[in-house]
Amino acid sequence: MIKITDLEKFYRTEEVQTVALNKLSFDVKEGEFVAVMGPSGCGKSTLLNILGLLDDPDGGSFIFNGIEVSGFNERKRANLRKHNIGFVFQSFNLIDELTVFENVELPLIYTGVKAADRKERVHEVLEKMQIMHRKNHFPQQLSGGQQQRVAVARAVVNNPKLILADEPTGNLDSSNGNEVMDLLTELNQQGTTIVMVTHSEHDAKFSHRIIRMLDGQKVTENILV
Amino acid sequence: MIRNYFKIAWRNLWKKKIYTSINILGLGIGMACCLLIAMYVQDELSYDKYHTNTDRIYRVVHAETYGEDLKNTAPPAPGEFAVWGNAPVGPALRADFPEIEEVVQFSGRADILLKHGDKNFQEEGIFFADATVFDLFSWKFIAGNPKTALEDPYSIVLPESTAKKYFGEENPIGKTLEGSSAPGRANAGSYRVTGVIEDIPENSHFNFPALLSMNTFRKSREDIFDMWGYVDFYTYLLVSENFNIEAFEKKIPDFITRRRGVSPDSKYTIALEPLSDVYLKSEAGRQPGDTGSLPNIYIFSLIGLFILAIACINFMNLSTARSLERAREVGIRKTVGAARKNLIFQFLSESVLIVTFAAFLALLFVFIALPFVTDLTGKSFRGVDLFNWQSALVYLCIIFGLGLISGIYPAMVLSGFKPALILKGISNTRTKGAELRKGLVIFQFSLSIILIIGTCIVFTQMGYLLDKDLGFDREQMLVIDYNYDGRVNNKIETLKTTFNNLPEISSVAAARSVPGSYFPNAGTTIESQEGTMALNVPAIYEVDVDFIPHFDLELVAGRAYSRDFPVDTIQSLVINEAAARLYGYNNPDDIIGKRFQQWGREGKVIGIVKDFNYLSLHQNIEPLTLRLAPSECRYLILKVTTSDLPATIAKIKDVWTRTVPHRPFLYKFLDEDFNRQYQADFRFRKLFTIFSCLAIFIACLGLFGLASYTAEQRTKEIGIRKVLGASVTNVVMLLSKDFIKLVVIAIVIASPLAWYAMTRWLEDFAYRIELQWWMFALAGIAAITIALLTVSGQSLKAATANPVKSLRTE
Ligand SMILES: Nc1ncnc2c1ncn2[C@@H]1O[C@H](COP(=O)(O)OP(=O)(O)OP(=O)(O)O)[C@@H](O)[C@H]1O
Ligand SMILES: [Mg+2]
Repeated sequence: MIKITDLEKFYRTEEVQTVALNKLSFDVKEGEFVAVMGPSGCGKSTLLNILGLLDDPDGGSFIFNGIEVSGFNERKRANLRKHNIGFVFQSFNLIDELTVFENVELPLIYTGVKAADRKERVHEVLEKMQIMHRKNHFPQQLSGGQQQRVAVARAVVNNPKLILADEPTGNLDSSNGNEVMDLLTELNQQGTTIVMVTHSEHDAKFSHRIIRMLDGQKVTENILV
Repeated sequence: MIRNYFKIAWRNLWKKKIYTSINILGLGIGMACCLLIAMYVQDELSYDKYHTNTDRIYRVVHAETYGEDLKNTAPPAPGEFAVWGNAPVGPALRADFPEIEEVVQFSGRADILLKHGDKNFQEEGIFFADATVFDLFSWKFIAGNPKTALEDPYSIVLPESTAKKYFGEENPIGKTLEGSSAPGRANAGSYRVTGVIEDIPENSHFNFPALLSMNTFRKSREDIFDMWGYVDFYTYLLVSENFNIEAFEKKIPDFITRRRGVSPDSKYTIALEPLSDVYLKSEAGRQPGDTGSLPNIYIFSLIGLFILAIACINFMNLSTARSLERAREVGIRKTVGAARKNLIFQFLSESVLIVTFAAFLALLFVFIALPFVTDLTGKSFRGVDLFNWQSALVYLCIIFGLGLISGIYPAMVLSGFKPALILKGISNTRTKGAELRKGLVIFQFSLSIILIIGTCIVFTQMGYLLDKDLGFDREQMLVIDYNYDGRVNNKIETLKTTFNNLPEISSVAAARSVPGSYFPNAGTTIESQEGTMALNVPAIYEVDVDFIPHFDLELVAGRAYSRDFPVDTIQSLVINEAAARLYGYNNPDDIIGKRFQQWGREGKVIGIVKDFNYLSLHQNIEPLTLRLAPSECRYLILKVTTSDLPATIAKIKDVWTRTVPHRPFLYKFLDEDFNRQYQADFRFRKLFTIFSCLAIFIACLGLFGLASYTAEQRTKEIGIRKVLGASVTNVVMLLSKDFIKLVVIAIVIASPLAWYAMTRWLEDFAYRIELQWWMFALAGIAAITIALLTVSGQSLKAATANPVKSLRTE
């Protein structure tokens, strides 16, 4: 599903140029659950942004679902993204002005789903995430764990083929964290491909394969199952 | 989807109340100003357009040159024409040109006493008019036959309000009104009411309380109607559909030669003005009514746009200043699938929503302001005119137009954020468009400062108009208007003596004209330096023997009229310096004793008065002759020397009604009447001031908003600075400095522009102030002070906040 070869990304500030990704290559097959680990600043989030089509690489190739997507313009990327990819972030990134229901509904709006279908689908997902009773609350009225469940709900509401999670448990205590990991595992078992960045060896154990990075490069790969 | 956008927009606006109200208030005021200005402009542009035949009606304007001007072969400038002219030109045009289908002529404005039963009023600005008048002008008849109403001598057609005034609810048709004599036009007589018309619409270039049949005039002064040199008529033409003005104008010289002939002393020509241009574009003199001002229309349209621009800029600046706040939202929306166009659309719907609220607020403001606007402009606008489908359509266009204009830039900026950057939590980069925002603030303040400087200069000029020494005494001069009444003139000496005996009155004089009132011109021949007789047509004031000392006019050569010189009553003439120059005498002493002829009188020039401003200060002092003609007088002028005016006026009235009981006691004060010439200027000043204040207010609203955002964004910095020992003053200075810098730049930009614009404006006054540097300095200081007050409040709030608190929130 994902094949990256010699992927490069640089950040230029006034005088220094940082190499965030240095000729990184690996594949992710459909239905896999991959964890990416590495010390802070090694380029994990940068990688995830590129995989999520939020950012463009500076070099190398990125084949998504058999299509070369590096060099896609923003409109094309946005289009591909909204049908195929869901995101979960460490800091939840819910829109404070919208209710739980509306936050989850958002991806459906952008893909042009009709209002009645949207409602049905959102309810279904909220039900599954066990957050239905909070659907008219605003994010700030929820606990961290609840917020992350909403974020996961939003990520999956479109039935994306790929979920990208950037330290999804980073802001949560262990029990809330485990709950989120269980959710992700369950999604994976239903066929969704997941790439997750994490600092926690505990969380990484939920995955099938761990890719370890250092200074923008892959150092090792451990296959767990 | 759209509903979703509006829902979100609504919540966003509700959450940011200050931001929202600044925008809505600013845009609301801006739109209200624009609406009012648009109504005003539309009204000005609508003058005389209501006639069915507007496009086919033309007006004849006349120009006649004499004396030195004859050497100038160029055609007369538009300002040298006069609307008022002779009678024979009308019928001659009608007879000679098939393309001229109909002619209607009006007399000059006549002030006539009308009487029905115990109702007795002096009606000002009545016209004698040809029976054809209603073929040209579509004034609607309520009763009577438009074809014949003004056929017979002593017929009168009344607008509805005049009819009501004299006849109440009675049917006036066939009833009579007693009319006093109209000197030089018609004898006193009973006028039979033959028609009642709807009141003349306000958007007409002239208006009248009644129309009298021209045949009334013709009956008493038949001779005048063949005299090419006798000026007392306004001539309007109805032309055929395919009339070609250029082709017609080529035929004018032949026509004049054929009909009037050529004279060695003068050169006469005519031109045509289309009716639709008459109110705004005519520069001709001797207009039958008020004229508008095209420059003012431009000025106010521009101000309207300025104000709207300032309000739109507020919106742009506040939206982009808030970009950080919105950045995270943009990032999240993009990760869940929003395309850029979705976001642009979302932000545009927010701006359209704001503009929609502003539009409703604007309507409210307009309704509140309408009565004041009516007061201010002398026009009566009706609120209902705003509610028709055309207005609604225009309104909708404005809402979407403005929403788009002010929303598109912020939408582009906000929607352009890269989600990858935002979601990493990069929040202390500089907000986008900071430079542009500064530029826009400078632009706003430049506009505002131009208006402030303008206001300052307009005020100074108007003050100058009121205070300038006009060269004659205008204080406490009570002017009684008895409208040439022969019975009053017979008793004028008695009246003068009685009034002079009152302790409250120091001096009395009579005249046909006083400064600020109507005066005629008179063909006057005076012996030149070379001994030949030169003809010119200067203005003429017919006065009595006391006029010159009464007004304290200064003599620069010779002597004033005197009772000690009986020849003065028929053989002497006093003129002003400008007239002496007109006849070629730069040294006034040299013209004393020269021969003159004027209106059948011959004799010697005996005195020269120093030029005094008998015209408004818009004009230079023109040549003037002061002719001794006590029996031609219209006004009695009393110099009052008391502070108890009401009692004195009562006393004067008492003397008046006892001596000439048949003549109503009508009076005015000379200075007030003279200053009435500046009514349009005062109106201009008021409107200009109001709009300037609103402009600066809206600009400050924006500044306030920006200042509070800046303060908010810099709370952490301020906290750190305070912990490190910065005082409140330091912090306020720090925060205010940037804004003040912008205002100073705006002053630098605005000053030359204002200087240029105001120089142009002042050119309309023959007598004007010099622009001084302090006017600009004053406006600058005012702008800085206002800006400082606006900004420092927010800065102070930020500076006095507890640093521990602000640091903890980060
Ligand atoms: N916008 C940017 N401008 C400049 N440098 C950047 C930018 N974003 C990231 N970097 C640099 O790129 C490198 C990789 O950053 P990235 O955010 O991918 O690290 P990470 O592995 O996600 O770290 P962490 O575990 O702390 O989240 C770092 O050295 C970082 O300093
Ligand atoms: Mg990271």
